[in-house]
Amino acid sequence: MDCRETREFMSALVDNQIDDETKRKVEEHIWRCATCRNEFELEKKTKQIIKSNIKLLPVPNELVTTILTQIKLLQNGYNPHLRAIEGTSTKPWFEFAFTFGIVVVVLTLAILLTSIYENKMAQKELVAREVSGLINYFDSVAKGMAKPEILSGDFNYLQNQLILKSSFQPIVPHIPEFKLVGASINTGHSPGDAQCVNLLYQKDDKIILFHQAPLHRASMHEDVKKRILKGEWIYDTIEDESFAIWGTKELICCVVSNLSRDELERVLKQSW
Amino acid sequence: MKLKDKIEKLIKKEKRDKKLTDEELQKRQREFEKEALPHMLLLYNYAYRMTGNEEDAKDLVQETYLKAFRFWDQYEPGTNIRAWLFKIMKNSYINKYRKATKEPGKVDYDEVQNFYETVRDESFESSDLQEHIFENIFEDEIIEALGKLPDEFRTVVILADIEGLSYEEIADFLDIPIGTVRSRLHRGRKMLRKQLYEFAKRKGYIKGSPEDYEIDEPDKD
Repeated sequence: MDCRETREFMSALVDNQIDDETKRKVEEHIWRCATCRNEFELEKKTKQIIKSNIKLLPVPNELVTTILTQIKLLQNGYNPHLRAIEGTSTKPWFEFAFTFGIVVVVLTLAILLTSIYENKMAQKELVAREVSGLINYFDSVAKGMAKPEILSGDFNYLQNQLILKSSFQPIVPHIPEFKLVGASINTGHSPGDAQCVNLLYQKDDKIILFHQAPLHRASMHEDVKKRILKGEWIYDTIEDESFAIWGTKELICCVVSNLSRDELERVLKQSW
Repeated sequence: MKLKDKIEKLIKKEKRDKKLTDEELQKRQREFEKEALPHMLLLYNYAYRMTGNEEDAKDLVQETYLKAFRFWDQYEPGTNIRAWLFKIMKNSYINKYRKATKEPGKVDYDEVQNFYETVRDESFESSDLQEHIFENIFEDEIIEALGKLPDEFRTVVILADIEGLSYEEIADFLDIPIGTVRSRLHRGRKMLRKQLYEFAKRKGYIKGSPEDYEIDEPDKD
């Protein structure tokens, strides 16, 4: 074994997370090579110094209590019947008025928290979860780290390529002031997933990524799907990117852009 | 996907969409408390060392557990629950903290690269000076040094050296091969040592720059 290979197993030797055969080879090298031996000693010391100085901290008691309470509240949110039972089981030694006050507070909190979780977090997060993959892709495209596989400024060529190659009938819209610069056809993230088509539009430093996939095969959360089927256009932002999700009869469409939310809405309204 | 799996998935989904009965809800809560709560120590400590303070760590753990509870039926019994919880937490962490402070993607990678280049090019520990790195080192400084590691490296150091996890489990947590765990840990500890060296130099225990004798492996992951 040479120095390079030895370094690959250096941490494993320090932690003794190594099989006997490799260990023997690494030790043999270390015995002969002063540089690696030194490196090994230093790494061992580093580990020791981390381990002995940074101890595991106990979990704060109130954290456990908070989590348990919140789970209960969440649980009650699923079923209002349970909340009523919870409300009446307050401690007997409190004066009536005080008890009543606590019940009111508990109920208000329960309603507040569950409504926050049910509506805001649930809906917002559900949507965010659906688009997060696309936003990452958008980020890489915007930074020039990823490129659509078909690059061309020729609208008709791109359109023909897409119709030829994709398994469904994609829409290729004209977006005012923006120019279609590229497109890609991706197979889904998991084997059962449907194909999707991404179109990339550009105007100076503004980019619009238009993603579409067949609606019936798109794997997404039922709630989001329901909203889209109702004809809702969901607009929101994540960090600096704005996005929109909506559906046609056959397709689920999602647009990600570095335009502001309002600008995006304006541009999309002009194109559809 | 096999037909059998598909049907199973559909049944699972249907159960989630329809309202559960009280009995089912309570069973679910008991199950969750029994399975998931015991791992709070691991998660809290990871959160604490990643965010660097108690409040953020508590928030992160809380968020993780609430998410885990909401999606409890997506957890497959018998699989590694610690890995499942850890992945939920890691996603929350990335969404909450990493994106807020740094640009995603490229910038992050550059930082790691630069950091590693400095570690490699600048020699900082010849045998007669090495002792000084570990002498007079305070707990705060080690915590500070750990905090300066890029997330990827800090994560493996926390999991291996503070939480005492096996390489197999770390690989499982992070969805990376064991070889990558080994190299990240080796490099992570080295970066940390470099930080400690800087502290020692600042405090005057070490003067000048020692001669280069380090042989280092090429940058790969």
